[in-house]
Amino acid sequence: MATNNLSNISSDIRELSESGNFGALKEKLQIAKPTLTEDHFNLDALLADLDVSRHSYGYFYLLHIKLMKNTASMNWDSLFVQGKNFLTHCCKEQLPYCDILLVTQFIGRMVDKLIERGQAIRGILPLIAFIRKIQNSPDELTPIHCNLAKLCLAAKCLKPVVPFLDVDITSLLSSLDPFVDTERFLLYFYYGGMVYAAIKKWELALFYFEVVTTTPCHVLSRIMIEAYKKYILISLLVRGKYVPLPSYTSHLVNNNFKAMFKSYHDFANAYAKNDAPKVLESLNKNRETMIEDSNYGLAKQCIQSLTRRNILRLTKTFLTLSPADMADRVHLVNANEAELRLLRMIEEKDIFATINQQDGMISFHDTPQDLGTSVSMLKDLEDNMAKCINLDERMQLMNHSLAVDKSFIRKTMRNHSGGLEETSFTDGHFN
Amino acid sequence: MEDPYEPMQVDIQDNVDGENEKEAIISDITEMEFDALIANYEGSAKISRLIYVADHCPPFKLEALSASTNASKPIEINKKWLDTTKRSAAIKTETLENDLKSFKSNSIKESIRRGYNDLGDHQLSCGEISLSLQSFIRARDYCTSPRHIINMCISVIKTSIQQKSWTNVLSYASKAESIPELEDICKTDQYKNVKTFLNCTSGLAQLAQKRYQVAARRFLEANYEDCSFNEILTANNIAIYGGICSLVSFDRKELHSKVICSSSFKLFLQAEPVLRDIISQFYEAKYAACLSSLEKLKNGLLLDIYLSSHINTLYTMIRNKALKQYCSPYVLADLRRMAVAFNTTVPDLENELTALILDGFIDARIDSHNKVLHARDIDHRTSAFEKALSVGKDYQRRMKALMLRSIVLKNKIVVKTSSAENENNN
Repeated sequence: MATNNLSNISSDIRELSESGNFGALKEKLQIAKPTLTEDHFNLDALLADLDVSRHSYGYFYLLHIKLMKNTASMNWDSLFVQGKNFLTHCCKEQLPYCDILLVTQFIGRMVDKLIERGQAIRGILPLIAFIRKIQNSPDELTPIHCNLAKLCLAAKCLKPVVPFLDVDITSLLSSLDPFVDTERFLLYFYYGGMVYAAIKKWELALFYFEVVTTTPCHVLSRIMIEAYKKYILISLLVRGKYVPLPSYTSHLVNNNFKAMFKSYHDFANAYAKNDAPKVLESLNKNRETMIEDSNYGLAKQCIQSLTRRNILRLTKTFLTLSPADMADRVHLVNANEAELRLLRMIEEKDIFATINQQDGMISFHDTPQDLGTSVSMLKDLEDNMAKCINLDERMQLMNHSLAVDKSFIRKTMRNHSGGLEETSFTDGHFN
Repeated sequence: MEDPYEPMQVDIQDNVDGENEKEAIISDITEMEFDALIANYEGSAKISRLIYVADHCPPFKLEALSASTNASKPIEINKKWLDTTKRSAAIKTETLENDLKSFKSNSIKESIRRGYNDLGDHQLSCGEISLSLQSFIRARDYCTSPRHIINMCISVIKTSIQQKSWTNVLSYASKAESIPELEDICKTDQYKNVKTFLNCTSGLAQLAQKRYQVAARRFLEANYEDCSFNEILTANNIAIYGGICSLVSFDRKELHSKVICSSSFKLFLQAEPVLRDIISQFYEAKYAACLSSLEKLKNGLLLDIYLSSHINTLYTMIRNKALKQYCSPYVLADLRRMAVAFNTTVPDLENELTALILDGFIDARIDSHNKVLHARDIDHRTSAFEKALSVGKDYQRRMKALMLRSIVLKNKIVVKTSSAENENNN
């Protein structure tokens, strides 16, 4: 009877997929679900029988059942192959019929299993292909973006996710469950921040962590907490001091975080004063906490950059300085170390200086005059201007679409007691 | 007119540290005389200043406390006296409140106003400052002439000063100053000190809020003859506050025209000859003498109830300004000679200058090898480019944050507990 049933399902899937009647197919599959869940060998046979590009809906449904069963004797390798098959070859047109929450769940689980079994790298390409398929536009954030970032981090292979992170998101594909949406959103920006930090794009990393910490909240999320710690350290790297969060940050964050992470703020305060011994002292004091949060590496990078920053400050104030004096001012062990650091910075064109070995004096020079007129500088300026103009245009578009948004209009009307004339709209707020 | 394209405020705000400077305790009294500290004050100002001195200067503690007892009541204070005084005060409050009630039921504006004023005066004398402030402010609704409003403002300002609510002082001072008839009223004898009073009290409030330049301008407007409110500020106070604030905030030219040559402020400065000399020394660029006399004055000023918490900032500002002024005419300045002029050593001077250069206060660089300070030739073109780039990047960052924010709000991304979430779903 079971076999009979299964062959029925197989033919149902074929027929209904090809006629495009997914509603009926869903019903049939739901009825058959208990039978399907019983034995996974049959599932494999069924899956092998289907053409993934033509019967994507049925294929996904069966695969999901297989994954959720999670028996001890599960052959993960075959599941990974089937999963890859589905992600790479599924039919774009049938995806909207799949329950997106199930898809999200399915991919989350697959990714966890891949990472658990040390095979993260296998999932990257199929997942990219799949994201491209479910996205309505290249700048849409999907609930599975975060899985890609996680995979890349786990595989220590960051390049594939960077093009996704570099995109300015303009819309969001909802999983229809606000809780999942929020979690995935936070995770995506958290992992994104970690990716950028790993490739030392600090400015962007800072931005990503800022997005996580400023997400509206009624309770504090663990993800926000971890992001905030990293935010503090990275803002030291980028700006040399703790950069306060923007004014729209939730008051929960503003009220609690400073007291909660005193050790981080102590570190940041010492850092902002450019006081190397104090910073080291604070680092040693808070070492345990930072190692526990796995932020110790970041903190050590902060120390490195502090020395650099202090040397840069010297170039702003001194024309000549002896290496010994310099070592003293930036708290290095001795003149030799100062000289070594200096050499490295000169090589990297961080500073413009020369060392006179005869009298052992360092002379700091101004930045070469032609830097301001150089082609690269002008190009940089032009590029940035284009970006600003582009952003501004998009902003205007958003503004316009907001102005004609139904719920917004309703809300504004309510705020203006006694109704709203059309003119006050266009004059007052938007144009 | 407002620019309709004004972007939404997503600026990253700087955190203002509300940290107060630590209150200094003075134990060295060689340069001070006790009498000079409290000379000329009257009423509650005398007592509160004496208590301040007692708290912050152990060597003067005894003198200060006994002087404050003498100033308050020349009678023996015991429990009996305390009880009777309290009782009579309570009875008076009750009478005044009843009077006020009956005035109100008759709704004669003038009587109500007087009733509130009497009540306020009485509450003030009982030390219930915030209650009295309330009464004075309530009287405002029953003022019928500009003179009433001026009286009301003056009472509110006096009370607010005791409470140290400086924004109140400023708002009522500007209220009084915006009365159109003020000029005419001030010509009468009874009201002739009003302008000076308003200037000095707002100067004090500005000083307390660290707006030293505005404070200086306010104090300089004061008229010596009209200075008759010793229960708040004496002429010596005005000289010191005004003098120090102008040292901090005026350049040499202004210092000369507005302070040294000012015929009205000269009279104030005569009361404080040391400060007068300091100001002229500063103007004549005799920094060593000027700074050392200032240093001698410091302990006395630290015992001033209103100035104390600002003194360290103000002194640093004066010194920095002197350093800046010294450097301004030179392309090359010899650090050794500069150190002599400022009574310090070359390494210390180097450190001081380093800090000032980093803060962007002095545009120069130090040639540590030859001990020379070079004025810096700024490359305006490069710095303009750099500025433009950084502003552009900042703009991009803010716009992106804003767009992302709108996506977040549109999609109702909010962190909630999952249990709350389930409840919503069910």
